[in-house]
Amino acid sequence: MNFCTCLLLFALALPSVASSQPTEAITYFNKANTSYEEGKFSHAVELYEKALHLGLRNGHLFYNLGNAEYRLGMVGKAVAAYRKALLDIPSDPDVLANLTLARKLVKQRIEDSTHGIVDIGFLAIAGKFLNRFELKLAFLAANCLFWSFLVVAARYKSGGSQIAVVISLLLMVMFAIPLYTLSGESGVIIAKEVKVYSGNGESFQVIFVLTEGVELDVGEHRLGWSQVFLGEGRKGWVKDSDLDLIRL
Amino acid sequence: MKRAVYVSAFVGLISLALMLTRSLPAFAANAKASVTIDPDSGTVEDVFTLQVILTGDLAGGVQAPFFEKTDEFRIEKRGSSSRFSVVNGAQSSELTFTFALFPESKLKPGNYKTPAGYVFIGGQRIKIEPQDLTITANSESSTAKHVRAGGVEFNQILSKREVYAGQQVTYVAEIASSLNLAGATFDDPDFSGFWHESFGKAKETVRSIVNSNVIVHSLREALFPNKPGTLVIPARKMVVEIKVPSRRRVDLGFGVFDDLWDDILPEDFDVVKKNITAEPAAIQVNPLPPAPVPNLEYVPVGTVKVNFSIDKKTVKEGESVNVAIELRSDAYLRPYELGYDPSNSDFKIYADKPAVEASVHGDKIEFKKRFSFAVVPQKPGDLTLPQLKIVSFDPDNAKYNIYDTPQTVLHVTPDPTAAKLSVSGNIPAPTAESARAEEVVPLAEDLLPQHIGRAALYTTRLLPQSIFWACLMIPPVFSLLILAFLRVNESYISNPQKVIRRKAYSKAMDALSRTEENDMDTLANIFRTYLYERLSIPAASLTAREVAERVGEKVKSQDVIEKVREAFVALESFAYSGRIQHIQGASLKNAITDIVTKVEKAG
Repeated sequence: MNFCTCLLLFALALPSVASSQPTEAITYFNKANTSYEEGKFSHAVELYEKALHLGLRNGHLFYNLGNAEYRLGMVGKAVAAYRKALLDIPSDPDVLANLTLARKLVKQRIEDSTHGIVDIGFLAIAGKFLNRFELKLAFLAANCLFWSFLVVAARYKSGGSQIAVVISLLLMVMFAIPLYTLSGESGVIIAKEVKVYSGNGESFQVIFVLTEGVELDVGEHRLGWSQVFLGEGRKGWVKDSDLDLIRL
Repeated sequence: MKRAVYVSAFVGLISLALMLTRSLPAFAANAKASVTIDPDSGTVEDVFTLQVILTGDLAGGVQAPFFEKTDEFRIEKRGSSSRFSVVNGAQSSELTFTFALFPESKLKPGNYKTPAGYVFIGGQRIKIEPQDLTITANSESSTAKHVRAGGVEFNQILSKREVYAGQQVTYVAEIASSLNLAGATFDDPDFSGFWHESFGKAKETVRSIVNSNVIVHSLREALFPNKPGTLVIPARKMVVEIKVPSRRRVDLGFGVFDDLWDDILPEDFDVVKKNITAEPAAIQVNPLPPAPVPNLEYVPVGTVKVNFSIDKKTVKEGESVNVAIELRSDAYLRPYELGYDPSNSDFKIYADKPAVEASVHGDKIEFKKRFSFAVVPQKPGDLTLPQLKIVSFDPDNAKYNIYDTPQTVLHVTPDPTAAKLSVSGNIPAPTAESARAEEVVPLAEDLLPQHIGRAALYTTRLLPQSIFWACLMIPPVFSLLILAFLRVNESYISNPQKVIRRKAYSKAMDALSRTEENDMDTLANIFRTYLYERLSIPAASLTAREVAERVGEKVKSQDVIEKVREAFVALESFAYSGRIQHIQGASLKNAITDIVTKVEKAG
């Protein structure tokens, strides 16, 4: 059997989690949950951010953080937190539901933004259930299988091995598409109102004004500014401090 | 005979003289002289440039122009230049003589004529016509004094002595000195009561005053009085450094070699510092008359030009329109502000920080101030952009000017993609301020609860890109290697001869290692088998010479061929006589081993 296939299966067998978590971070996380239950939402936000800073980083924490920010009316930050949660737990129904709720409060929307997933039917289905790490491992495994079956098919030229090559190729495509869309960067406007400039500086023209919660695709970064895409081929620049990038 | 010769020579000389005389005017017939004076007006302290330009055919020779002596002006030659050109085969030349004209100090203001002059071109005299020159009085505020060699004068000069509050006045701090000035330092002026802008670094010019050249250092500032009354720029001090030649050597009382030392040794100077104080300068500042528009915070005083621009007039709801208003003026624009009324509900208007620049234009400072606004319509329809009023005061005509920005209508189309605000239930959405409070009203009751418990206590693993790409590359590389290996193997499987050939060497070496040196039959078999399997030579049925020839066809090594022949001769000899022969001192077994190795190396 192909040696690298064995290696990857071994890697797949590993849980996609770290074995031990910093105790202090867990303490902050639990305290934050308690504060949330008591209605002290800004304190909860503070504690969740401390837990993040100390290394506890997962979709559930972002989800909880998003809830607390949502309660405080920080719609933009809530949407960003839910989007980050989806990077880890893409199929979690709670995250999806609360994100939908938060999006209803956003006054503007960029229509042709991918929001992280390209929806081309069943080929994108993997992205709805697997997070980025799992997608990468799955893609690598499919890659191994493809090359192994290719060698077998070249050697023995049997129909079965050729079908296996095609299937493994399809699997590679299924995992590659959501990986590709997740590789593009996106962000959420977190300030109440943000001017979008034609260049990376305030001396450029203002071409648009965006409100909190708008989700955008992000391009270049330059000197504290990020390039954003506004749909219909338009693009502009916003300050990094007004934008929360969606990354774990 | 002699006489005839003399007469002929005389007649020839006369003819020659006549010819020359007649041709001289022809040389200068096309030459012309023109004269210019620059500038054509100035004070008695100014130096004027007089240029005499000779054009046309100057081949006959030109003498430098000269002028009539007068009591009013002194003329000194400054140089000449020439230019030659050929246009459409026609040659032409131009000769320019430059003179400096100095008015005598006693000259009073009035209209004068420059001295007449003459120039000889090819023997012909051409007149240089006098030019009009106006001598003006020194400016009212000028207090420049004549400077004698070795003296230094420091003055503060204002272009106007009576202005309106905010009107631009040019201030000049001027030092006039002889050529031995090493440096000068001004103290900081006291411009309290004024806004001021600098014209830049101090300038140095050379001015001719009373038969001597003086260096003038001047520092210019634009002053804008910011309150009415009598404003005084106090007496200002400066320190100048004057170079004074120093003694070069001990004076021994006799200076026989003084000239020699002067030539050999470099000049040496001491620097002497001198404090000089300029007189104070006062200016009368008048208040502005009552303004036609009430509640004006600041009114620019000067000539103001306004440029209004808007980038588009048709927009979608929520899109922004850029409005720019640019003011250019000699008035002081830095404190001037311009803005729209924020209470307008049709628009949200965001003002950028205004950009202001100052630059020198002639003898004034000009300001350019640009106000930029992003205007966002708040509803669809035809919306009128509010007008702005810009009020300025023209000091030359003592009147106010009012500029209204043009009335602009924006056509705002609705944006169907803008989502409407929706709130679940009857709970209102909080504002940003109230949302920061500890106790807030929930936005929605149906927000799903927190995730708690051990399931939420982990850190998501991330796969670094470098490891990902490395793992991605391994399978194809590995697979290609496997495929290549299989292909090589396959070629051996489908061609048994190849396998046999490949194994012949190892088989022969293996057999030789197990065979005794005296076992000639086995050695012969091994050798013949090797030659057959490896080189396809049926050595058993060939003579030694034939075998050597066949080996020679496959292996291009004379040494190998020779050894093969000798080996087979030895084998044949043993077969017939039973006598074991050595080949080149080595046993047959070693010889065969050597042959097999060399054949293998030869490929």
